[in-house]
Amino acid sequence: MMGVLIVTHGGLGRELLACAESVIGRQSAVAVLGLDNAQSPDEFEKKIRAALDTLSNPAGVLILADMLGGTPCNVCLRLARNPGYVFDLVTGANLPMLITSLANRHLMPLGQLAQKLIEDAPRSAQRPLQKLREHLEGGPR
Amino acid sequence: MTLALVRVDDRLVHGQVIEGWLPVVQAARLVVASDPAAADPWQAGMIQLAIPDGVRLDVVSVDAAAALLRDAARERSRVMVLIAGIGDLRRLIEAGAPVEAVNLGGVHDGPGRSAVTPHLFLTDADKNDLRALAARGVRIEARALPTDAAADWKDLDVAGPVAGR
Repeated sequence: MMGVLIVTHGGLGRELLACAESVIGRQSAVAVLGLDNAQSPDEFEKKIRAALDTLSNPAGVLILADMLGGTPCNVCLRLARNPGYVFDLVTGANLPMLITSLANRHLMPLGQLAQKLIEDAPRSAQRPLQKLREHLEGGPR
Repeated sequence: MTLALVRVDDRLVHGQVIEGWLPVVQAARLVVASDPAAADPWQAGMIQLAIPDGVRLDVVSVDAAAALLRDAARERSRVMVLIAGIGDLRRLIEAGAPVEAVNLGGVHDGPGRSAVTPHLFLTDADKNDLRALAARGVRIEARALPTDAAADWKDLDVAGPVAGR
C-alpha cells in the first residue's frame, strides 16, 4: 500500500495522526517525524531517508509537510534530487488533508492523490458562520 | 537602504524566518548571501518558492552580496540579509558590506562545535571571527525569534583578544 509520511515541526504530526486514526481507525504504512529545534537539517534528513526506506513500495510514498518553506519541507525538497528517493510532497498538512490521504491512497495513484489534496485544500478553510448567516438570510449581503 | 536585519542561520530561509522575522522587520528585499545556494539553481529555487510574493529576492555569493549591499546603501528599501555561518559573515563585512548589527539566529551542532546558547554551536574560529567583528564595532545579539529575549555580546561570553588568521 502507498506509504504516507508526515513531517512537521515538533509533535504536530504525531497528534495529527492520532486524531486522524480516531476518526478513520488504525492505519498501517504511516510514519511521522517531528523536527525539534535543536535538531539539524542533516540529522532530520537521515531520519527521513530511513522512514522512506521503510515505507518504500510500488505505489510510492506521499509526504505531507506542515509548511511550505519550513525545514521539514525544505529537507524533503533537498532529498528529492536524489534519484533513489521517489515520493510526492504536499504542504499545508492538516487534519482533513491527512484523512483524505489515508482514505484514498488505495483508490488512486500517487500523483492523482497529491493533486486532489491541493484541489480539496480550500474547502477545509472556510468561514462557516458567515456562510450560515448568508444561508439563513437568503443570499450574500 | 535600511539593513533591517542581518541574520546568521545555517538553515537560511525556513519557518522562523518566513513567519517569525519577515513580518516583523517588514523587509521589502531579502538577500541570501551563500556561495553554495548562489551556485545551485535547485536551492535558489527552493528559497524563491518559500518567500512571500512581493519580497524581492537575491540569492548571491557572499562577495556579490557585499557589493550589492554597498551599492544599495543609498536606496530607500528595507533589506534583510541571511547568511549561513559566522565565517561568511566576517567575509561579508570585511568585503565592505555596511553592517552595524547582526543577529545570530541558529547554527547547529557538529564536529568541533560547542554550545554558546541553545541555538548556537560555534567553533573556535567562529568565536574569533565574532571577536574581530565586535572589535570593529559591530553590535552582536543572539536569539531565534523576535519575541525571544536577546542574548547580547556579554551574555555570549566569547569575548577575548582576536587571534591572527
